[in-house]
Amino acid sequence: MVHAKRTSERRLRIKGVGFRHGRRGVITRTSAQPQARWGRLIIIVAVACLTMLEARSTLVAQLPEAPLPNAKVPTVVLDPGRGGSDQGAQGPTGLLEKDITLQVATEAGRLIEELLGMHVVLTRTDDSEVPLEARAALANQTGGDLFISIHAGGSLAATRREFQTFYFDDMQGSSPSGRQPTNARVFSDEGEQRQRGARAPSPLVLWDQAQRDFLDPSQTFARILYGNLRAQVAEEGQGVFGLPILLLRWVRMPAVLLDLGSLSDPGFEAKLRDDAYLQRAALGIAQAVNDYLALQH
Amino acid sequence: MLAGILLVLVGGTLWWLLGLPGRHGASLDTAERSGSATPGEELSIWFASRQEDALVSERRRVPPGLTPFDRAKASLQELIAGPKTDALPTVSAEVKIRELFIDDQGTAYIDFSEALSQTHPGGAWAEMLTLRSILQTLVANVPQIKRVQILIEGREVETLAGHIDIRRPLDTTWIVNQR
Repeated sequence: MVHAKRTSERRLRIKGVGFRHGRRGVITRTSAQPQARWGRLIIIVAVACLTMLEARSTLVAQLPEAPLPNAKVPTVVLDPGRGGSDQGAQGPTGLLEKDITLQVATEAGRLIEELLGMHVVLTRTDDSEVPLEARAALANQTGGDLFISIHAGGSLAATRREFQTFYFDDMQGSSPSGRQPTNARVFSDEGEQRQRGARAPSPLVLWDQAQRDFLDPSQTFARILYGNLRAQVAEEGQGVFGLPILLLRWVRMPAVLLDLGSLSDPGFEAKLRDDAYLQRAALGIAQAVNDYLALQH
Repeated sequence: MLAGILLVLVGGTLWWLLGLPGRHGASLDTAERSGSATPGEELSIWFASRQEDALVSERRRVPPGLTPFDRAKASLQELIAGPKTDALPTVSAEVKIRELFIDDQGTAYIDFSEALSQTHPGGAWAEMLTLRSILQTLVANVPQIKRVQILIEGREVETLAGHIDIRRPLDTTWIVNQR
């Protein structure tokens, strides 16, 4: 609004010059000699040019400064695993993975928005089935700063398994880029300049190699998340691991998968029914987001 | 007449020198059965440890001289049959092997029934244990196999239960790099 008003003022000043120019032009046509007329014309044009330049420089100075990269409000993408007919793991008494993940992601999102003032995008907000590709695409389109996929998977036996965090590791050698992708699809990299972690900008990124530039920050965040979860839920956890997780492969930002623990275990299923436990887990996620993004500044 | 006698003599001599299956074969079988070593060859079948933090192997014996195809199939059947110790099965006993093929590049294509994914308990870690047990069991018992492509109902799939990327063959570095 302020900008528009000032622009209008400048236009008025420029019009004033034109008015004077026009007035003098009328006088010249009736009384001046040809040489004097040319001289006046040159002076008038020079004055007009100087006035316009001055007006332009004044306007440029009044434009708001472009926002600095650090001033951008971070966007955190939370991915509640499973959904719809994909129920995921099921506890001995019927607790479903898809319900736990949605509850924790929703609560973590609320904490991140309210306490940290960051933007939060959820890949699903209800019991809908969202394919893995759609989850990654949504995350990439937001140009997010962090991606957290939340799960509560089963285990081979009804044994207790506490939380784990995972980052992407191709498991095919030293470099994931060493493998040829199975397809040649690419996605436009809208969030190219928004990344806060290590990044090697490239104009086109193969869909299958989207995570390639974020392996280190993803691993760092997986460790931070693990530490915060351990502090909040007062459990030791099972560790931080690199695995070729398909969803993480497609995400173009630091990305991790959090497995809250084994739903197959009756004792742990009971724990996951406890709202206070889930609240602490959500707080651990929010605290980890804060800690990680603070490291980037 | 003379030709007939010669034929009988030559044939008898050859039979005596070289032996026929019923003779020396019988003594060989007896020797094997009564020998100190058990017959056949060993396979190492890899299951999950009780704590689900590693793979542990169990020994199985199979007849000697199996082809790579037969060794691979026998190995997988033993894996599906499950452990005989307190180790944990990584593949449901309901799973069937629909097809198995080993190409000349060392890639084993294993086509499992859909029970492999349908009966899986889920979880990234459990998926990893299942995939690694299949890969390690095949690579350990069939030297010709360098990598394994898992198919379900004849098709490549993205994941077993929603986590690990199995669109492409798993190779031995997958085992080496496993942490």
